[in-house]
Amino acid sequence: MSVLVDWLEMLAEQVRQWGRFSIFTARLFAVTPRALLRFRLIVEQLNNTGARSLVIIMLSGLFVGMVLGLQGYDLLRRFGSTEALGTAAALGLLRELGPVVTALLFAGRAGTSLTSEIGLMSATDQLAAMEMMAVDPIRRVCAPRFIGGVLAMPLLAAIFGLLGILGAYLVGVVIMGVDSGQFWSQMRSSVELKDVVEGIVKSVAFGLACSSIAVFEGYYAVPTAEGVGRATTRTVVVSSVAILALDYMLTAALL
Amino acid sequence: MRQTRAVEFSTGLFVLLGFAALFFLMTQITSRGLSLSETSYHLTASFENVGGLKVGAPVSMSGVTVGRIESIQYDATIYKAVVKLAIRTQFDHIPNDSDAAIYTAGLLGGQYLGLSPGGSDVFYKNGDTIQLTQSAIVLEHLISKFLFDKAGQGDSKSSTGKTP
Amino acid sequence: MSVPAAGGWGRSVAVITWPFRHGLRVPGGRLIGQVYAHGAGLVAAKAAHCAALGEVRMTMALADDSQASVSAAARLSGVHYQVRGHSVFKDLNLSIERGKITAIMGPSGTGKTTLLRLITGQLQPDQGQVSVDGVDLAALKTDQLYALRQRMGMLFQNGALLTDLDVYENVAFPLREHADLPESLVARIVLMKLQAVGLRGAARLMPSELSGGMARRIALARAIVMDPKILIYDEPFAGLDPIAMGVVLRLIRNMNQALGLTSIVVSHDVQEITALADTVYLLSEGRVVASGAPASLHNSQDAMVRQFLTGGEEGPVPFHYPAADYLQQMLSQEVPQ
Repeated sequence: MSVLVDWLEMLAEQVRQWGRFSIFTARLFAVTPRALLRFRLIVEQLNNTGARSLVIIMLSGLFVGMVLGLQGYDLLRRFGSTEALGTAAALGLLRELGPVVTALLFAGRAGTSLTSEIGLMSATDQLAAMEMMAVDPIRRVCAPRFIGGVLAMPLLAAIFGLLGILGAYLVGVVIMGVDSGQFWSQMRSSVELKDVVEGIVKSVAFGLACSSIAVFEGYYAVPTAEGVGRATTRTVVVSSVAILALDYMLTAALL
Repeated sequence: MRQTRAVEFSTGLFVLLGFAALFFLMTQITSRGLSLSETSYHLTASFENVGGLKVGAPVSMSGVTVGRIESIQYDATIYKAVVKLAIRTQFDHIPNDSDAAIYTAGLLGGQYLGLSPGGSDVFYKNGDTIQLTQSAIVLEHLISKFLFDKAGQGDSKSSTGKTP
Repeated sequence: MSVPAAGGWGRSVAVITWPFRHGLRVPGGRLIGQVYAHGAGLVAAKAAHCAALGEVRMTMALADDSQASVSAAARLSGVHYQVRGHSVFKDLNLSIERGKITAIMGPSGTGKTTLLRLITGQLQPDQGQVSVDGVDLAALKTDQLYALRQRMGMLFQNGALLTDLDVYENVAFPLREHADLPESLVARIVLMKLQAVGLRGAARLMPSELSGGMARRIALARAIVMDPKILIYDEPFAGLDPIAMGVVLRLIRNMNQALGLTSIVVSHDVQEITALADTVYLLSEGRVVASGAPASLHNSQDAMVRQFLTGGEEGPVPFHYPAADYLQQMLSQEVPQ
């Protein structure tokens, strides 16, 4: 009997969590126009989330592209059409791997730091102090971080995609000997603007999801060392699931 | 605010790199996807059978892509497929007796629409209809036609064999 | 333009109108409002600075706290508050007198911090009324509450300085958020407040480079930068060494006198509070068990009051958490469940 009650209570807590998240994001969106005016704060966050993720994104992009180059080469060789390697790598990177892997890395690198930063601010009464100074912490702390994340994500995904294509080129053309002209011309003739746009749409959606989750988890973290740690873990888990679920939905919608 | 300059630099670098990557992806990697409404004019052509022709497939003349397939619909009044083409405005010297045919690129490639120029002095303009069309070659039809012809030949042979 | 010659740290309050977000519009001038400057020293500094700027139109007049006699600065009546079914306050009645230092004391876990959050409107009572300046907090909308909070300052237990900003920017924070002042004026105000807490030289240190006492003094400077009327201190003495404690104690007293503030101090440091407070409320188990001047509390015969003031082990607050019989538990083989 009490097991059932516990179970129901857990379910109710999950529903409440959804409610809290919805209300929080609504408040976040409501203060976004005012937060946009504080350009400096957003630039700071663009630096925190974007610029500081640059190295990891570039390295990962290069390696993912190189793996794609190898795998794609091996697969296409069986059909005797290795010159389609450019197309395969570019489409895979632009439409899928670029946005998704970037978002997963973003959740791990920038999302966790957002959550722990805001969580620690709350644990040390900084958010309460802001409220006492009649400053809405959602507007002053959460919104710039959220906006910074949303802006950074498509840029990071584009950089990732570009380095990925470079990686595929390195492996396919420089190492495996695919004709360079074929590689580029095939890519150009079969990749369309629509594919790039699909990637951008996805990464903006992932940016919205990842940033709002990270900021939310930080804001509602239990204000103790343990609570902040748990919130940080939750950011990665929830963001990753959200990214993959959103990816499926968006792919189905945009194909 | 002591690290302001460093922050400015790294943020600037990031944003510039990001936009450069976006720009490169949009202009260099893609086939410059035609923005259909602005720089193109429209033609229609009806076919008995469009086969595997898809929206977005290229329209080519002498192997050069001059436009794209914009839409494919079935017209119930004439029992034909009506294909709308978007041709880039720079290719506005297409004689109005040119014919359209559906071809296949390579053995496994997708299908495309090829225009063969006619001899007219008047050119197609927006909204015109291509009169001369040749449907897609459907492999099954080809095979059945071939077999039918063979069978017909066999018949005629046997009948001619009997008459004398 | 004349600077009122109030002697030393007088009670007189000068009102300088200023280009400020809220307020009046002067002919040919920008939107102006009021910056309350207190004490002749501050007024003189501000006046001199305004004159130097030249661009700021200002009027100055002697004014006293017009609302002083209206009502209590803050009042809680019949407040009930629960957290997860556990009752924190049951029928709590409190009145904070204007211009005085009121101390709220009580054993740990009696909800002193919760009380402060009720007064500042961060929490709402389940029942009863909390009013500040005669205004019921429950009736206020968020922006009205924020407007009210601009007239309140709060010193958090550990200072709660914003860790990504240096000392100067921390103190300037409320000014930057609420007023669009020229940078040179922000600098003057910030330096004045830092001078008041004796840390003008630390302006460019980061919060992580400060000792506990320094952090609290910076937080105090930040709390008074908007010239509030009510200043709330949450455990201002906790974790400080005796010297820092003395510094903070004198600061609280001087601020209260010089700025004509109403101060609310939550603490359980009996010695300091006895030396500092005008009125003391002793809370226990969700209600006021004693109140009055510190001296009158020392004369109280109430067991709870006596235990609290003397720090005795025996009394209404037991040393032992409720448990099974000691002897029996030691003799049995059981491990506590």
